[in-house]
Amino acid sequence: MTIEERIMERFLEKLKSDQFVPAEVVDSIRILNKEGQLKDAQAILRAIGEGVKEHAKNSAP
Amino acid sequence: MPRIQRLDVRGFRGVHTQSSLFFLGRSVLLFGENGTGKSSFVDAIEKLFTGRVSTLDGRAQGISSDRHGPHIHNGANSLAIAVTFDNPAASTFTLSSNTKDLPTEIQQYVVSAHENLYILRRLQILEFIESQPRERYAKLRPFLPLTEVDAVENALRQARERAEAEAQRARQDSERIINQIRREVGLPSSLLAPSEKDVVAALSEALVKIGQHPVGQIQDIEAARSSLDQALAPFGDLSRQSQISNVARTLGQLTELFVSTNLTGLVNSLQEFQDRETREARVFYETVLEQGITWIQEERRDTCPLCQSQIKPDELAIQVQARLEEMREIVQLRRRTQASLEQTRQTIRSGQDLLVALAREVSLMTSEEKDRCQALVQELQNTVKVIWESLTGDLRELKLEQIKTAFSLAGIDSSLQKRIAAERAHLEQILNALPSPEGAQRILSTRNLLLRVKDLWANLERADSRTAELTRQATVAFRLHENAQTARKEEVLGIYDELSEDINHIYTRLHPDENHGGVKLEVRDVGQGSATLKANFYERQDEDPRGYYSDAHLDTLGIGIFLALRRWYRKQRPTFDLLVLDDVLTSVDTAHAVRLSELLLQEFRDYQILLTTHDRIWFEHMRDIQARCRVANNFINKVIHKWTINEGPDLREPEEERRDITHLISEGSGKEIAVMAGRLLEHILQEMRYSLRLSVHAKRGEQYEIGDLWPAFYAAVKKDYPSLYNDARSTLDALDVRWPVRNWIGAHHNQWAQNVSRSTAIDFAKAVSDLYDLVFCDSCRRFISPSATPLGQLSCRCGQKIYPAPGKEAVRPKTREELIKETEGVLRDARLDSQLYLTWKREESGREH
Repeated sequence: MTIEERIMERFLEKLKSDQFVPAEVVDSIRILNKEGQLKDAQAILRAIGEGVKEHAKNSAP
Repeated sequence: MPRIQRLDVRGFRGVHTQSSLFFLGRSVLLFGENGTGKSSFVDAIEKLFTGRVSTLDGRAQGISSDRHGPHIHNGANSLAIAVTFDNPAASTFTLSSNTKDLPTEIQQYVVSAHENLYILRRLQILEFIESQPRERYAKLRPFLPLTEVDAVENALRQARERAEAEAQRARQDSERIINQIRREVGLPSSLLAPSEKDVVAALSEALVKIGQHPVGQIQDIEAARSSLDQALAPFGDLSRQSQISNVARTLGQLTELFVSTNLTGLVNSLQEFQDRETREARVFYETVLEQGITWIQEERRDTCPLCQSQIKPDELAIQVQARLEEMREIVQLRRRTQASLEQTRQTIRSGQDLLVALAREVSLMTSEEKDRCQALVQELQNTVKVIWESLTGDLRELKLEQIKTAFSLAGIDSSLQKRIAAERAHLEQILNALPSPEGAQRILSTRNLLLRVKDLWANLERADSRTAELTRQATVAFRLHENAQTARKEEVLGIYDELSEDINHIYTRLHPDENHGGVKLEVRDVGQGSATLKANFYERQDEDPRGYYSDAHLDTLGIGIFLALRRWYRKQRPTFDLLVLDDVLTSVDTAHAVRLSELLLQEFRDYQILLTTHDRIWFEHMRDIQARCRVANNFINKVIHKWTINEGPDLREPEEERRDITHLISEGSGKEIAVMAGRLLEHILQEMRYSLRLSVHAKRGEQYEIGDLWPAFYAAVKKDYPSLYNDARSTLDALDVRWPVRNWIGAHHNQWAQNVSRSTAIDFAKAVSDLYDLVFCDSCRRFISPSATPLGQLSCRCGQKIYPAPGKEAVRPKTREELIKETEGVLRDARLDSQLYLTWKREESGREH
């Protein structure tokens, strides 16, 4: 594993344990990383927006 | 794994004509006195692989490897550097090679070698230690290939900034709607965030005034409206009145909004700001000054971070503070003006909202009033657009005249305001003419208020909900960016820890049993792009080593850091094994240099090393250490015999010259024979100068020639080594007469020397060849030198060539194996390896205590 891969892995692990980041966003970010789209700010914003909405939907009583 | 087979250099630095350094896939120990061209080979490797030479490029203005790299007698066109590898295809990489044409393994080698992370020169040993944390990080940067991570981090930062800006805009929208509600129900502006209760109370008051029941919450508005509709029923159809009343009221609100805008405040503030900035602060970079002075103070810099000029930090800090103080008024003025601009923009946004409402109300009107009102709405929309455009842009870019002109279109005396006033009067006239009793008007007005507030409240709820959502997104974006930064920081710190551990391992091996070390590389909290160096010194922990370490300790620390970095880089690129150390060993004292050499030869034995030294004794010492560390077969030990401006470094081996003489005697001219014989004689005498410690008159640059060396050699052999003299008498006596032949024919042009016969040159060459056969051993490839015992004996390393001491038997020198066997016991290996010796010493010391 290269240093960059290790950093990305560590980054995703940190997200997973961050209580302010919904799991839905973490999943989207993981997919973006796999697809090599994590360098696109617009794609990140979309992922955050959709993830936050999805989370709200999923956590609604 | 590819290794260098040979390095060919022509017309570069000190190399004039073609010169080849043969590696043959092994490491090379290259000895040459100062100024004999050792570093030319190092420069050539660096130039070929990296395109630059660190001792030239960037060293000083006007000095570059492109300009100063080519040999002074060569044009740049005749420059040639080539490395041939030992791969099956024997690939050659030159300055003009296209890497794509090379085999994959060589391409990888060349790519790895592009970063100069494997060459250390004496001048650069302290470079890392002496650097500032930021520069130090820049030096480490090539070891940290983080291009992809940088791009991701950058995208996350952009996403965070955009999300924060979106959330901010949403908050402003909410505030604007709150202001509208406040205006509608007449709440004081001191009430920053009116609650539903406040709004409901104001509406209830209006309802009670017209004899209606109050409302308990916004949701009750619909019921109140029904109640009002019932109250209005007896008055017949009032929808036209309602439409006209709404439009007239909204036009009134728009007039009030434009008239109440504090344009004078904005214009004056903007005027003052732009004037002062133009007059006083054209080149004022507040952030640069603030951050620059922070760096200078925190990092104790003595050079400017921008231009690298020498600075006096304390004086500069005072100057910068004074400049920031002078500019404080402008900074405050800028903030004030920005706030005023934002306020004006908010007002215009409210106007835009009112216009949207007005357009909707006008669209509901009957045709009689509709056309006139629609034309007015269009004009209002155009005017608001012009005003908005005049307020768009940075404070410095805003055009005062444009703003004034735009606002004058909607000012109190403008034709637009006159049209609004006329239209309102017209609508009032229609309203008054309609059959509507006063009571119905009041009920209608309250009904419209209820509906408007209901709409605004719904808008506010939507805006608040959007604000909350965008704020959540901004928080997530912030966390993403923060986590990415932390992940990188922790990983870099991990790498620093790994490096620190290896630096300490190397440093402790070089300085065993000394109360310092504990070297640490740290990422500073204030930024990721830094590397702080700390070390222990006795009871002092985590100090800057420059504060306590001696120059010699700093030197070894510098070498330790370089070697640890090199080893770390090897982990990333395992197939690239080149390591070049240009004259660095002699920067430390002998004891440390021995340990450093052992460390190099033991822990870096799987590297292809080019090690240069200008110290003859050290060169010989290194050859012994090679044998001790059992890596002698990995090394080629080369000597640069001399250097001239026209011929460059003389790397030829004596055997080659001996063979050439034999060949030339049968085919060459007298001059060729004399030149070659002279060269070999010079080599022999240079070697003898060291081994027999010949006493010669000192010469600048130690460029001794035959004329300087021969008399000393002849006298020393005759006096101190009779057995050699007896064996070599006829040769030595012949040479004592003939050595000037070399100068007559070969070295200097003399007209009369043209008459010297070929046979004279041959006699000279034969005498030189005989001398070579007497003093050089073809078996161990060493010249004879005095034996340690018995005194007066001369022998080669292997003992095949021995000239006994006067009156004594020949004593063959001991081989390494014999020596080990003889010293069986505690000291057997310890004598041969200082590390083992130290371990033994520690054990002994422990037993004594």
